[in-house]
Amino acid sequence: MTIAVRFDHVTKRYDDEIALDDLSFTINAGSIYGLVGRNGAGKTTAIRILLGLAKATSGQVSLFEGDRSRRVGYLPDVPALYDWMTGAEYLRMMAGLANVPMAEQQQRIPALLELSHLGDGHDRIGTYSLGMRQRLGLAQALVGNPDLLILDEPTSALDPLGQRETHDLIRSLRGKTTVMICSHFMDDVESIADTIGILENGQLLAEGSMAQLRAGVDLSETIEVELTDRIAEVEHALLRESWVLAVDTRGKTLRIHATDDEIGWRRIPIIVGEEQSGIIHMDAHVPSLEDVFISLAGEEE
Amino acid sequence: MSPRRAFLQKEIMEYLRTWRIWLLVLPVLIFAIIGPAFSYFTADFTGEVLDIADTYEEETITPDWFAAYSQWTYSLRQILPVLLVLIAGSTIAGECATGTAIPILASGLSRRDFVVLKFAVASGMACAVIVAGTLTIHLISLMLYPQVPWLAPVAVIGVASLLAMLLIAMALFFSTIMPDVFGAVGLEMFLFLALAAASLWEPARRYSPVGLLTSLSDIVKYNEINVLVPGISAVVCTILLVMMSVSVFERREL
Repeated sequence: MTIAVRFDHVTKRYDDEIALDDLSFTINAGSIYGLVGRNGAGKTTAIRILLGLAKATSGQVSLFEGDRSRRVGYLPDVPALYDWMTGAEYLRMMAGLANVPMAEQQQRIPALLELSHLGDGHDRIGTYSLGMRQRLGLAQALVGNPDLLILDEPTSALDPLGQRETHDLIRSLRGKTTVMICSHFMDDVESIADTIGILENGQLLAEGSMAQLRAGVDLSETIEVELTDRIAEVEHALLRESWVLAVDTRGKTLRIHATDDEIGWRRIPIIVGEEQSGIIHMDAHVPSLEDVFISLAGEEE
Repeated sequence: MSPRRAFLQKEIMEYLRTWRIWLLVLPVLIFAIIGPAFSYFTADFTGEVLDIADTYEEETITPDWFAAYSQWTYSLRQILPVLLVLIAGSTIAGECATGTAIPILASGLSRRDFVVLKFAVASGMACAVIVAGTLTIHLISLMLYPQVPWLAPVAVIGVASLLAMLLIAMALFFSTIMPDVFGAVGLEMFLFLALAAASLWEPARRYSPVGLLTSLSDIVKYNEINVLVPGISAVVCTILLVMMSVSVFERREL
């Protein structure tokens, strides 16, 4: 298996501040890698070093094991575009910069404009909405048919439909293009990444598939119950039960951590009834990436 | 299409489609057109004023091509540096500050090509405007006056183009070392004023590019003006400044 990206003990310092602290990870060619972390965790610094826009203080970064012929596409978190150009002109320029032959450009650019819902691309970029700019940013990252696609917060300006389309597009690249997604939106990463790295204070706290991350932090499944009323009374009653480890309350929804789920499923409706409340909805809650992240980041703090 | 050609096209389009073209072309062409007109009517106007005032004896002032060209070279010397600093000074700092340079550099264009092509296009545009302005004044002068030497526009275009390229190289250099656009433009303005002040010193005029500043206004008038040493030193300084800009930009973190 070819290694597309290798970070080998990379440290980056800005004066006294450490942006990346002995960071090491690899991304296999053709896979989708998600790098998540809160703002300032070091995600963008890692991308800048990967793209050669910044230099590591120590350590090594390599792309495709030093193969310089490989193409890289990059979508910045805030796509900076030339407002005086049209969308089609911008894509033509980026295709030219990526050395895409003219015949190929004539096929790719209209297809990408259609995929990005930008019409014929004859409007000036200055007239584009934020979402249109982000879609054009993604199109320019793809126009060179890259071997590695680096996406920094790819859906931050998109509506839910746009987010879903972008996720589908990224999934369709699996096996053909290596994709690295950096985001603090966990939904961007959870459903599409093969491997996820959690970055905090420039260090990789955990790495693996979603199942491995869940197992790593020992987050058990919880039972989620939405109640009609008398939330506090039900919560207090539950906390008196020996099989209840903890109860998280969010509005009218209780998330119950139990020592034994079977007892929980049997006892919860009885306790709710005893407290003269009613159940609107009751379901098993599988820990999300957000839960894993909060758990790990909380431990770190 | 090669990466260099794609970037070159973008740079030329950026000049032709944004404020840059208006800022560069309009003032230069306006001065090129009004220069000969001013020189032609100044004598009549002055004569009328002196006649009405009845203070001095009437003196005949004959307008000629030289007056037209002097007006033009004087204007060029004053406005060209300011225009070039405003146009070229913000180009690299601006692209880095707004982030538009990032996808371009990430796509594979080298930083050396980025700087050199920006210099080439800015120089080409400045030279084209100088040529257009000088030819405009030459044609108008030919219509107004019987004899205009053909060497006059050649000398003006040559000296002004060398000066323009030097100023652009200076502007690019400051644009690469300063992350802030206004800081870069401010530094360039300061350096231009320092050069103008240095032009008062004879050895600087004779042996450094500063000599081009004074030569520009004198070259039409005096045949014995020697622009060889200032010209060669300007070319050397321009090349060095472009090389230094590339070197600084290659090391800079974006």
